[in-house]
Amino acid sequence: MPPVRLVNLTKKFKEVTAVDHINLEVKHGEILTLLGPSGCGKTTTLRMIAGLLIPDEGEVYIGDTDVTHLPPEKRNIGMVFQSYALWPHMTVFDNIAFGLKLRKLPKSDIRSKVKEVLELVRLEGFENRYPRQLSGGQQQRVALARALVLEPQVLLLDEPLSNLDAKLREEMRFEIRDLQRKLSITTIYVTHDQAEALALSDRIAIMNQGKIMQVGKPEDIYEKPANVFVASFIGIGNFIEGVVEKIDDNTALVRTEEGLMLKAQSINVTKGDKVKVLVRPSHIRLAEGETQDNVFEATILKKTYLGDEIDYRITIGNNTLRMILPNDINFKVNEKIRIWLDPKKIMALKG
Amino acid sequence: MNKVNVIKKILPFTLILPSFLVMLFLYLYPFALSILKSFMDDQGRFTLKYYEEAFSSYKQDIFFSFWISLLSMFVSTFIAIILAAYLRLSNTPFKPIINSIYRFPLFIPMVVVAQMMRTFLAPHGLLNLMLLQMGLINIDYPPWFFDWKGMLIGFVWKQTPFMVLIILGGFQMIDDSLIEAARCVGANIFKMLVNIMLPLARASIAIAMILIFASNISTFTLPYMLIGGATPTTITVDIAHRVTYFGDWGTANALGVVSYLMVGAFAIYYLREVVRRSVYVQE
Amino acid sequence: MYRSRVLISRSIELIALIFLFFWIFAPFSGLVLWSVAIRWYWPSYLPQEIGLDYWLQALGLKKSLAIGAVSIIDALRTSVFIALTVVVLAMIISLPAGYAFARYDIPFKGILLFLYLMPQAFPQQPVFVNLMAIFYKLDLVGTLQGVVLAHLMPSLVYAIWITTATFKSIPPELEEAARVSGANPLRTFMRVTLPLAAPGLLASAVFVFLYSLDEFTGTFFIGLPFVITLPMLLYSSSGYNMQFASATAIVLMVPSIVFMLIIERFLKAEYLGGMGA
Repeated sequence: MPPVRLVNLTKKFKEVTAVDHINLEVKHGEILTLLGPSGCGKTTTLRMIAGLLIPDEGEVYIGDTDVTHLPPEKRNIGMVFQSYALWPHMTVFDNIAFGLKLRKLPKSDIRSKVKEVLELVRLEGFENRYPRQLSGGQQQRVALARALVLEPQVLLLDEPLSNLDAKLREEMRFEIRDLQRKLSITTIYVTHDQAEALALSDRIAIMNQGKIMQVGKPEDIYEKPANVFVASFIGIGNFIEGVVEKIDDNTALVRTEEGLMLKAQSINVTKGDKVKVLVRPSHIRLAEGETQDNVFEATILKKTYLGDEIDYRITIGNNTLRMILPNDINFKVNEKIRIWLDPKKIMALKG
Repeated sequence: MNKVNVIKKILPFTLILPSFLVMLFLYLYPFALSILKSFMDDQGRFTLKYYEEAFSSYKQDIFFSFWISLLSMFVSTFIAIILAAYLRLSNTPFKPIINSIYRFPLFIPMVVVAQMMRTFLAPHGLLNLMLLQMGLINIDYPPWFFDWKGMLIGFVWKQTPFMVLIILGGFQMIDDSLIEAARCVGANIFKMLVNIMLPLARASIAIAMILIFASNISTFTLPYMLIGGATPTTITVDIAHRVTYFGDWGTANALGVVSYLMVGAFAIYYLREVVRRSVYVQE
Repeated sequence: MYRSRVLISRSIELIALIFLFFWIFAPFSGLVLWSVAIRWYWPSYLPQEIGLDYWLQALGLKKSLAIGAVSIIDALRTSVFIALTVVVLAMIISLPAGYAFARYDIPFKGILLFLYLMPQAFPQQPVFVNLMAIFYKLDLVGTLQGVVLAHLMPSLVYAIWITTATFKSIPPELEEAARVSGANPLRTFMRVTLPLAAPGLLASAVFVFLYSLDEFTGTFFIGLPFVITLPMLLYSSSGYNMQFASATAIVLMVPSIVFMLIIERFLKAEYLGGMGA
């Protein structure tokens, strides 16, 4: 029994369909991230799982219970808000203990549970502080503690790191993941930051305009994106447009406008399809040895020194690509080079 | 050079001066008189006889003024909190209708409210007619409302919307996420109201209570038109009678000072409570 | 199960709405019924005989049975005259004052602003009673001038607080830009500040106008027995002529209701939320 299951979930706001008939199953103990640009429906979906919004169509199951119309106070979920939402008139202790008091637990139990969870988030001794006396990172950990102390079936996090500065954000990423691993609690995480998603998720569901584009492990999404949107949203992507001339198993032969022939990986592509071939910077190498497939003449257009690496803009025919190479070779602008696009890596994708 | 600077410096004061003079002569002077005259007899000597008179003849009315104002204020507060919480949290199709209707009494002048209550609460008035139709009262002995009951109804009718406005303002300063977080840890609407919303809106509620208590105690129009000279009546009616029929400014002012003290004491007490437990809702 | 829960809560809401509706409008309907009741005897639910007789009497179009009764038209004229005078005086006084409070650093600003509030926050009647005594000596009791002054004093809080807020909302840079372009302070005020402040100043004037129109206590002590405003007429007729009084009450309500419909959009609770802070 999957801990969370979304069936045909739909939500409309006036004319706009924010969430469009999505289906999703979350696995036990995993961190599943809903990733996408603003307005893609990820927060709306999360709020429907929490019970803060009622869907127009479809169901939400937590465990084997249909909770679709159940108010949040009756679902066994823990939620961490982007703004932390700590109650300013209560101490850290009271903030965390509030849910336990509502369940009428005896005082001594409450005290020990709060202590336990504060140790978990490394905030021992902070019981009597008020939220305004805490830093952003500390507030965030209290918000986490407050959600976890109730031992919920599902933990929901709505862009919890957006309000932190970059360095803290990176640190907290790992803290959250380690915490989750320790507790093995099923977690649904919402973010628009793809680096964050790649770093802490077990699986990622990429959303766009209310639909799920692709669900999979981070490496699968990165290496085998299902379509152009996913490919361009995750990582740096160069695209070369062309038409499929021949298909051979999973390999497609693509002809570009200027007549260049590319050999690329492909899934679900047929002859005659208009495709965009995804070329990641790591797929571009300097050509060595005799002529092989996918070797092209390229001109250096621009270069940017990045320290250990150099970021080049190169042109192949009418296409401009981004290439990142280590700094031991230093090409000059307008220099002509021969590069090789790894046919086992580049992917022909439909629109 | 010097002249310009001097003009610049006194300009703001000249701009304010007329308004200050108006307040000085038309408010501060009679206000001071009201206090002074309560302590001075005809020869200008210090005396407490007016206060003795006030407390001996009007003790019942002083007490009446106080408790009817207090009771009405508490009833209004209770209703206003519920209505304000509803307006803050609800998003059903009924809400906009309720939102427009409840404000109606705000725009009705007190003298019109008094007349409304006279027709509504009269022995043969609309309220008794409705109660009669519902079989709740005896046709020969309709209940009498031109006493504390009428005052209570009049006060609550007129003052509650204003309290709703202020308290709702306080509730709206509470971010949605604080309310949602409470629901996510298991709080139902009632628990959320008591533990989260009321403490965070404490300042607004206190201000509303102080303003309405002061307004209730000070009002002359409603008790004069509703209760008139019957006993018990409010201090304000007594002041009017004392002046109009007895020409006794001393006792009238003593009663006035008593009302000042009641309002002042109440305001200080409540403000201290709020300041002591004040909370910074916004950073 | 969920649908029945929603049905129950919606029904409760509807009942509450209906109850609220009756609570708010029943007293008002009593006024309306009384104003058109020729004969209404207990325990009939509606008047036995209705007609516009009392309205006509009240409007002075028909001879009233009561001797010396002032018609609503006369009282209305008096009320409006006084109210307009109060508005003019209040605006003349509070325009400069509001500007000064908005633009300059005035010592004890808070205390001064609180001073204007005091007549409305603190018991008002003892002050009017003593003002009456003062006016006796000045022969101002029972005169229009006396009543105008009595209305002016408590209305300043509306005039000054609102004009201060209005002027504060106009960025000083706009005035500075005018000065830099060569306009003297007075010109700047007339051509730049005043037009921008007009809506707020208008609102302030309306508040003062309505306040004066509805004012009872001050008029009672200082205006009677010669100055009969609508509230005074309402009070005096309430004792012996319910129909007349009800008609007067309805007329008195009209300006406020009109204002309410206009301001309905603007009187949002968010703005009053600042009161708690």
